[in-house]
Amino acid sequence: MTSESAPSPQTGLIATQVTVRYGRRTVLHDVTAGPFAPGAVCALLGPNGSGKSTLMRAMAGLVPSSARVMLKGAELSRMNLTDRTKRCLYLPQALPAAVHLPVLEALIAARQTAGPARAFPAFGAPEEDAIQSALESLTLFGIPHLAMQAMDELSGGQRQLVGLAQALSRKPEALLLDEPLSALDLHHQFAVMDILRRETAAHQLVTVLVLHDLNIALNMTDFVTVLHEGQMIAAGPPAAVLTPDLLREAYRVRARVEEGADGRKFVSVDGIA
Amino acid sequence: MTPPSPSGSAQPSDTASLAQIRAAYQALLVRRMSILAVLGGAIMLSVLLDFSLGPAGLSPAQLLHTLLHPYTVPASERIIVWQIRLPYALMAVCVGAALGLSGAEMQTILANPLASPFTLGVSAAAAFGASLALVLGLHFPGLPDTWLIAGNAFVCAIGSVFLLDLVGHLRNARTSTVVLFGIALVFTFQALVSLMQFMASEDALQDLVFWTMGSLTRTTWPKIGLLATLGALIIPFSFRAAWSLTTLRMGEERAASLGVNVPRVRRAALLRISLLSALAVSFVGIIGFVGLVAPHIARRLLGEDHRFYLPGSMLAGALILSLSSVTARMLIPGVIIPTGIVTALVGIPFFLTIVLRQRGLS
Repeated sequence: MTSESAPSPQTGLIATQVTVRYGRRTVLHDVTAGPFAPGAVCALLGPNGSGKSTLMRAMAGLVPSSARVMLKGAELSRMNLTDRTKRCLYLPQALPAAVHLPVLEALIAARQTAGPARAFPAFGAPEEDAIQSALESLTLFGIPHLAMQAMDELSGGQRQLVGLAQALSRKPEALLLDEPLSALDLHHQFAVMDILRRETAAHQLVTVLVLHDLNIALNMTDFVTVLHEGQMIAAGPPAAVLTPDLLREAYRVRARVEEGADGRKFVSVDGIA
Repeated sequence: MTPPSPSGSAQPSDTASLAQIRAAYQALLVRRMSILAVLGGAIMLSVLLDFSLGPAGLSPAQLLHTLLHPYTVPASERIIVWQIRLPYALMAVCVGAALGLSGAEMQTILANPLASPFTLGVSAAAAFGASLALVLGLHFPGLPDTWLIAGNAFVCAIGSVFLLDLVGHLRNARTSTVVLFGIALVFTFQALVSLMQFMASEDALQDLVFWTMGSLTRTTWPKIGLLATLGALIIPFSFRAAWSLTTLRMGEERAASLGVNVPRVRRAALLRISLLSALAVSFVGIIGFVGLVAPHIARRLLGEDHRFYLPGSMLAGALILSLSSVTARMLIPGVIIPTGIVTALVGIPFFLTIVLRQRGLS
């Protein structure tokens, strides 16, 4: 699970010529992102407003852009939204809404949207494999006990776990996760990173996640890409990319990268630059 | 995929608890089906009551006889049973179901619990259309006399929904923009109706005020037939969209990221709503409350899986309106109060009882 050898464009996810405008404002200008290798957990870093979410949405086809997106040799940007989202799934930053719906059903619905419901589906149970993969996914994130609870009875962190379980239950080839740890406590942040690393390696997924915690990026990802003002300013192994100079340029902070007694690196911020 | 839990690999106890979850989910599905069945049964009882009560004081035996052998009884009884009692009772169910379904879909696609054909101007637009016919005598050429008012009301009501759709497609429009615009439409059409009332002759004014009260007394068999046919055509499309609508409830961006074509789902739903609710209100006038509360009742009773929520909201709407129709006959003996007046009085206690119950699914 490393990216020592450069991933070949044929096997991973790569987006080229990504230009996105919101009205007159150009958010991303001719960005090339990737290639993100299968089996490696890749972090997308950058300060607020640097275009991370927009880049992910563009790769997933959710905002109009001129991007050409290739996944494992197939051109995603030529597919319709339904086919595209089956292969490459974007998990939005907003938590799933607190609706009056059992968690299990929230997962089943996420699977079933791929096809139309039957004309009178109230008189038929959902497909067996949707229930099965929903249960597997809940177990994966350690929350099967929430299955029959309503979404509007859950905490924010629990809903974030449900959102992640929804995403993985669809078994996509590429996962684009927008701040998947934002509502989680410390234990769950590391638990989710562990799960993502394991699943990414086991199924050779392309996993890209937006992170704000640089120490998690340093120690738990294989590859980082840094965006700044709509441009990609660095990409590579985390220890090589996350230098004091880069942190000053991208995040406008004075920071050191230090090594702990066990050899793990951590970012220590002294103040704003 | 093999399911390791964060703490380790799958345990035999996990398999047992998964079986428990499956059983619990099956039980929930059965429970929801039973709730739908109970609602259906309650509607049948209410229709029966609606059919058998009335100032004429016909006995159940007489009613049954008239129903089965209409031409062996006096014309007055035949008319009471076949032209008044039965059509009113059935129309209450059809209109209630149409408004219940429209309200449920509207609340989902606009992500707003206050959305309904009543609160977003469809009823008010229908009233304005009716007022054009009643006060100014403006109407569409070629319609038979009995359809003139309904025709106008329908066109204006459907026009108001298309305006909502148009606003929804403006640049930078959000769902809240559409809701606000709908509320603005209510006030606009109410002002226009007031203007019409101000200009109206005494007779026209009386007709108009009575129309806006909402009443089932304008029911005819062809109108029931038309509404029922339209419902039968539209409902399968609503039910087919159930999963997409359920996903949409969890957030617009999430639905899109899961492959739901949100603009298309929203537009198709709005088209269904516009046809169904416009036809319903154009036949009976302003009976708006049903479309607002029926979805809330269905949500509390059944949750928001639209496979159950949509039929549940239809049935809840039908039940409220049918019960209102019964109440409208019973409140003052010998007088049928316009149903629109009674709906809120009947609906609010029903609504509060269910919505204020403790949350939870089982």
